[in-house]
Amino acid sequence: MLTGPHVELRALQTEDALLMYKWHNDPRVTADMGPRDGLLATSMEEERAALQRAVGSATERHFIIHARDGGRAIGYAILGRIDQRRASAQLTVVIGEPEEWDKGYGREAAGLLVGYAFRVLNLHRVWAAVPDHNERALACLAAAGLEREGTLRDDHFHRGAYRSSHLLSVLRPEGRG
Amino acid sequence: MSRVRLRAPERGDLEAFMRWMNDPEVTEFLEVEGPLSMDEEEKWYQQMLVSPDRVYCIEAEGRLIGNIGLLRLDLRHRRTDIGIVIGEKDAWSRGYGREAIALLLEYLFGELGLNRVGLYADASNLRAIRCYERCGFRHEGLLREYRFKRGQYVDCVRMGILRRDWEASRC
Repeated sequence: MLTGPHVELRALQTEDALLMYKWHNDPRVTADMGPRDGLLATSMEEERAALQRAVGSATERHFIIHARDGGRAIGYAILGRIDQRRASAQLTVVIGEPEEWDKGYGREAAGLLVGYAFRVLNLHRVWAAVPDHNERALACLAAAGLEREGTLRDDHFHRGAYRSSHLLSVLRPEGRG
Repeated sequence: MSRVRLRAPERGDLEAFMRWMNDPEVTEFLEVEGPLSMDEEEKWYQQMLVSPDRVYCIEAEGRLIGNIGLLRLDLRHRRTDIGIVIGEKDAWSRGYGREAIALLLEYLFGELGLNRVGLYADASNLRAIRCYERCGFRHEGLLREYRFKRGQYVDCVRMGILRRDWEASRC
């Protein structure tokens, strides 16, 4: 369990398929998720299969974000593509309950996972790729210390046009991690 | 220029490995439990190829004289142990082992980004311990009766070198 002032992150478990199913079938949530948003809609079957792959993976750590006030599950966060040779991992944070947006939960979850990556996993670099039109995600990751380092031009097709993504990263502050 | 080079182990090297592993003089200070057959060597080779604990051949002046490898590599904790054998006895006491270790440390600290490299040696293996000391390894502890060898328990020493030790020793 990773605990901040307002959110708690706990490990994903197979019973969470229904939550993921709900969030991944809410167009408000999936609208600006970027190129990884492959399907129009996701079935329970697919969510279950995805969870089976995710739970216990050596290269991905998945968490469910809970609001400490009330304990409600409000989204998920992932450290993916964990590469110990490069000491790097990709950060993804999704608040799946739109009424919980803009309350600072995402930034707190992102900050907790960056700390986890550096202090527990002993990584050196945490990076993210975010559609350049997803202002909320960009602000969230910037608040967690990620700096923009480049742009993937026209890397996905969305709402009738090619769109770009920004690459962001944060490096471990002290020396070589 | 180094007289020693490390290269990947090929199947054709197994014959030499087997010869060394069946020579009591060579294995005196090793953990292997001989005798070993060619089939066992072959099986070890196949497992090694897919393991993170990689073994490299040591060549001195173009000739295969031994091998050196990783044990229990852990990238999260950024550490590994190493093991080395100079199997050709006429290549002993010429500093080849020390050069091979220096090359491997260069890789482990400089490329793999490790923080620590450790090893065990029999407390009675003074030649090896002196070699490790010259490579920058420090004594970290004495392990009483750590190993059962030729009918009795023998003591081992635990040695280690940190990234900062290695960096300081290079300039």
